[in-house]
Amino acid sequence: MVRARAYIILALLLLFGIWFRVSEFTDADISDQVRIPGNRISMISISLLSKKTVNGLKTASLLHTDDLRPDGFDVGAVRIMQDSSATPLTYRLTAVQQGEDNGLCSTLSLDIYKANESIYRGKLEDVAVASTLARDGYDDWIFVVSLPSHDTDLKNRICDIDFVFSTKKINQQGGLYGESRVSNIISTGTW
Amino acid sequence: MTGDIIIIHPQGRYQKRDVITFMYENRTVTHRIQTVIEKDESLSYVTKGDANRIEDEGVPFHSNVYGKVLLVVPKVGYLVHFVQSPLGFIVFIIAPIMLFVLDRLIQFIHG
Repeated sequence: MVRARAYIILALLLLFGIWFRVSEFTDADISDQVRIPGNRISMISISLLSKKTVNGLKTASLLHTDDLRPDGFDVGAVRIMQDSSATPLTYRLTAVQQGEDNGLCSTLSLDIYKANESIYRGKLEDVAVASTLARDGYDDWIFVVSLPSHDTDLKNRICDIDFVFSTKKINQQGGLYGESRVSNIISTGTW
Repeated sequence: MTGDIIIIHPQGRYQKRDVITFMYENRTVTHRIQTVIEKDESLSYVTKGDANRIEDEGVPFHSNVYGKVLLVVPKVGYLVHFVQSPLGFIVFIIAPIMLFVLDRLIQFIHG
């Protein structure tokens, strides 16, 4: 009787032993999450557009002056708008000569009027003025290019120069840049 | 809970609130079903641990589920862990066999 009970105990030990040996483990993962609400991500782009003042169409050229003579002048106008989500957008106007300097670009004078006010009077190639655009605003720039010199060395010369309207927004991660150019080709005649 | 053992049984389909054991990323996990997703004739389950505030990232398919938990026996898991150790193997497997064989041998010798 005792032996039979002992056998039963041994058999149970063996049975459970085998069962437990083939048992597998399962995980009960612990996980957590922190939510930070109210994040807002905004993206901006900056871009400038040059348009004709007469019809609002995009343009890449402004003055095409032929036969300019001493004391003569030519007038051109361009509308600058921003095509971006940045507001307000500050930009800068400079003149960048294309090709070699033959003395004409450095001689030409430039007068700039914006909103019926004179904002620049000086040499064409030295121009550097800034302006700020509202989101839906625009600037009408009026340029008067004149030849103040009677120097005969300036006969039959060509000045190829661009007006460059450029803007940028820079932070620690990098920057955004926008630029619009209008070209000018001014030719002198003979006198 | 840690140290518990569970008895599972495969089912044809599992319901919301069932605790299931499934394979996920080469691990066996036991969590409760939060949502049953039935799409294009395939079943999958969104699960969450009872102690967790958020649902699990992985969504096991029905084919990855071993079964539903039918019974939980507290603390016996520690015994399982012991049995799977070398000492436990000796105590639960080798010793009973040896004792049985020894007893039968003694019986045989003494006629």
